[in-house]
Amino acid sequence: MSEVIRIFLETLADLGATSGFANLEWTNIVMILISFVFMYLAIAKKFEPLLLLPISFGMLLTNLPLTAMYTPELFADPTNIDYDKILHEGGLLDLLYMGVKLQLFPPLIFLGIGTMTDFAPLISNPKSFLLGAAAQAGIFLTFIGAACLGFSESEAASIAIIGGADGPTAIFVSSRLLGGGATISTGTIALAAYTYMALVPIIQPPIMKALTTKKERAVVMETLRPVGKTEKIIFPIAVTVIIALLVPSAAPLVGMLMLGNLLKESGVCDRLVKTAQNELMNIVTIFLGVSVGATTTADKIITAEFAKVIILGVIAFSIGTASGVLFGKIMYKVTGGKVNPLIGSAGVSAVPMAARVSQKVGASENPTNFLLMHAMGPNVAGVIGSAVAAGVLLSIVK
Amino acid sequence: MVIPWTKVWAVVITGLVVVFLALVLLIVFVQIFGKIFSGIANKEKKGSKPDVIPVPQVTVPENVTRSVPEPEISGDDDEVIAVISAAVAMMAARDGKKYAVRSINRTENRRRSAGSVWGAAGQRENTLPF
Repeated sequence: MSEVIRIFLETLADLGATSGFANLEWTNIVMILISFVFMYLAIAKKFEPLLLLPISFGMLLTNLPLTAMYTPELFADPTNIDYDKILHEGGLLDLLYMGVKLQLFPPLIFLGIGTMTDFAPLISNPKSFLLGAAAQAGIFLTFIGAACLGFSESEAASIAIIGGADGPTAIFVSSRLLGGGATISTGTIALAAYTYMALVPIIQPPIMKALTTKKERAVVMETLRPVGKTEKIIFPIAVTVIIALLVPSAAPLVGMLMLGNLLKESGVCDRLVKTAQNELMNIVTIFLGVSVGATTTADKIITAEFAKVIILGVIAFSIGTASGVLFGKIMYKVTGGKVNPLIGSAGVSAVPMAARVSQKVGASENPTNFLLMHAMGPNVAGVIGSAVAAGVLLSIVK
Repeated sequence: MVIPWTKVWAVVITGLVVVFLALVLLIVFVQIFGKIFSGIANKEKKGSKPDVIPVPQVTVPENVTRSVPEPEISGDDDEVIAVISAAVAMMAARDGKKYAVRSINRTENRRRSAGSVWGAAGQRENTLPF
C-alpha cells in the first residue's frame, strides 16, 4: 500500500514539475495580461475585432508555457526555412503560420476585399489616384524615423508599412522580411497596425482640421459621373497588367485584389464571389489572426523596440493623413476650389473607415455635404498604392 | 544608425517615385478609356429615339373640394395641384373620410444643397453600406 502511495505522490510531483504552472515566468504572466487587454479592446471597444480577437488569442496561446503550439526557432532564418521539419515537428500554430510565411493568407484576404470593393468612384474621378499615392508618403517618411531609431533595414521597412494602414499588406511585408534574429515580429507589426486602424476616427480628425480652413472643408464637390459595366470589368484587368509589369513583387496582392473585383463586376461568378467574400475570407482571417498572434512572444513585446514601434506607427499614420490632406489642398488650389482637401486623408487605405472620417469631418462643417463617395476614390486608390509601396519595399529591402 | 543614409534616401525616393509613377500611369489609362466610353455613350444617346413615357390619367373625385389661393401657386403649377388633389382623393377613398385641399404653399429650402427630404433619404440609402 505504501508503494502505491509513493508512486502516486511521485507521479503528482512529476506532473507538477512538468505543468505550465511550474514553468510560468513573469514574462509569460505579463504577456497573458497584455493579451487580455487586446481581447478587451476587441470585444468591448470593437477595435477591428475580426482580426484583433484571433490575434490576441494567438498571443495567449503562444505565451502559455510548454504548449509547443508555436516554435519561433523553426522560422528563425527567413531565407532558409525548413518546411519539411515544420511539417514533422511543428505545432498547430506553426502549421498555420506557414500560410503567412509562404505569403498565402494576405493575398487571399485581398481576394475577398476585391469582391467587396467598388472602384466606380475611382474610375469616375481618376485624379483620386494622386491622393492615394500622396498618403503613402507616411510609409517612406517613417522609414527614415525607424532608421534613426537604430532598426535594421528589414525592421524599418516592416514598421514603415504600418503607415499604409492596411493590415494584410503589413503582414505580407513583415512576414517576408522578419526572421528570428529581428527584435520585432510580424505579430508586433500586426498589433500596431490593427490598433491604429481602429483608432483612425480619433487620430485623423485633429490633423485634418489643423491643416484645412473652414472654407476648404465646406467645399461641395461635383456629382461623380456614372460608370458603365464594361469600364468596371476592364479596370481590374488593366490595373493588374500595369502594376504587375511595373512592380512585379506587388503582383500577389494587386492580382488577387483585382481578381476578386473582376469576379464581382463580371456578374457571372456569383457563387465564387460569395465564397471569396464569406467562407474563404473568414477561414483565412481566423488562420491569419491566430498564427500572427502566436508570433508575439515575450522577447518581441516586452522590449523597448515594441514601444518604438508603437510610437513610429502613430507617426506613420499621422504623416500619411497629413500628406494626403496637403496634396488635397494642392488639388483644391489647382482646380480652383473644386476638390475638398478632406478627401485626401482617405488615401491611407483603412477602407472604409478613413472615407467615413472624411464624410464625418466634412458634414460637421456642412451637414448636407456628402463627401463619402468622393472619399471612396482615394480610399480604394490607397489600397492599390499601399500594395505598390509594399512591392517597392520588398524589391529594395532584402 | 544601422542603415547608411544613402540607402535610407534611396528607399524613400525610389518608393515615392515608383508609387506616384504607377498611379499616374493608372490615371492616364483610366482617363483614356473613360473618354472612349463617354464618347460611345454619347453616340448611342444621339442615335436612339427618345422614349415615350406614358402619362397616367388622373381623375379627381367630385366630392373633394378644392380651394387654392391664386397668389401662392400659379401658371404650370395647376398640374401639381391636380396631382396633390388626386393623392389626397386616393387617401380619402381608402379611409372613407373627406378632405379639402385649401392651400398649397411652397417651402423655402433651408439647407443649401439638400434638395428634398426624399433626395436626402435616397442619398443616405445609397451611402449607408459604406
